[in-house]
Amino acid sequence: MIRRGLGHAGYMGGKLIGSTEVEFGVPRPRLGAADGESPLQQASAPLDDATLVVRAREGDVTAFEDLVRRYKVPVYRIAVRILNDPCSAADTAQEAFVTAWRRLPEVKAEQAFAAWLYRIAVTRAVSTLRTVRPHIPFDETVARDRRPGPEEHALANGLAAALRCALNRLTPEQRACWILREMEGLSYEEVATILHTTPGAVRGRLHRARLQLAEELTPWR
Amino acid sequence: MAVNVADDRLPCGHDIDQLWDHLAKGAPDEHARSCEYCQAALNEIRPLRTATSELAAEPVRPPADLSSKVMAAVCARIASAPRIALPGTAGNRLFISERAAAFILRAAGDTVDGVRARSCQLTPDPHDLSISTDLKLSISLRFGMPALVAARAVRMAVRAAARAQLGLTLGRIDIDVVDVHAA
Repeated sequence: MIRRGLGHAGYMGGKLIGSTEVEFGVPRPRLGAADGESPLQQASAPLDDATLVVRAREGDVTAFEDLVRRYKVPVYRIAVRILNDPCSAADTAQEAFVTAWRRLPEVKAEQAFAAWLYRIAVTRAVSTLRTVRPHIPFDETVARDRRPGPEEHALANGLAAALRCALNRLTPEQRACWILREMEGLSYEEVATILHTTPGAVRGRLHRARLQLAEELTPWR
Repeated sequence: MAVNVADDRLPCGHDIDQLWDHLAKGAPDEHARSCEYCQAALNEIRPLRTATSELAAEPVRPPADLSSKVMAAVCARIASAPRIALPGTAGNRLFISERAAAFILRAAGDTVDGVRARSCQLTPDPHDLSISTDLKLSISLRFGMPALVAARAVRMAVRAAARAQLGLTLGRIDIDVVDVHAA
């Protein structure tokens, strides 16, 4: 599950980092890179997460910097999608990395670094969301009054913007689930690990989120 | 909504999770294309699918100074690291942090084809540095690389680097192959 998915080089070419990874020139680990190269070239080839984590844990700042460079895009992206605010997302991403550095000795399976890191970031983002804007329990009548009508949706400039508004009305946990599964493309098991819950609970949250979101997008049917 | 919260199944027996996954791949199956229940459900979730794909495709760029801010905070947190004394500096004292020494020795290990150095631990003799220092090094080997050959090359490389860059004579060098990476 996580060992095969997150944190393995095979996965890095997948959705986790995907096009944005290439777009912003973040090095991705190429396991085949060392083949047939001279020793010096090999030394500069991207290393796998496990190697970098062990080195960073022993105080190798350069190795940790490589990890930051490798994961800053997805960590920031997840944070900004959960928080919907670039400033607090930047703070959250920064704090998540610094916390990760401090807690590196706790990483047991070095291969699962990505999931472990995402968990730190998501937990922080969700708790920030709760502090900044305490979630009001979803109440049908109140929510219906607050829900923007089609005109407002139109003003919000399109479908994607309407979804962004609708996502803001999910509970922080539902929103995190939705973002990790539907936008980051992680598996139920990976999402469950990151959110410290079970794949079944993830399915349940996603199901409820989908009902609520689909309903809010009714004007676009 | 036509869909019951408690049960994902449509009257035709199809699962809305499946429909959702099919939409993600862009193509409902044959049944869904001709089934009125599936069509109704697809119409309900299609805008959400489109919007989700649109949002997911939006490029997100982290602030340019994110890495440097993180690294500044990390460096500020590095406590006074354990140091080892280097030999042969008659009268004047020379120390190097274990972190820095490990960095140099790992880099030496990395120069060997098919080897990635991981954990690097020096255990200097507290009484006489001029004699020798033991080293424990864990490595990941490229698949297909003979461990014996690699270990011999790693020992030579780290021994040479220790002598040339640190003035340290390495005694026993224990190598632990902890992982194998793809060719």
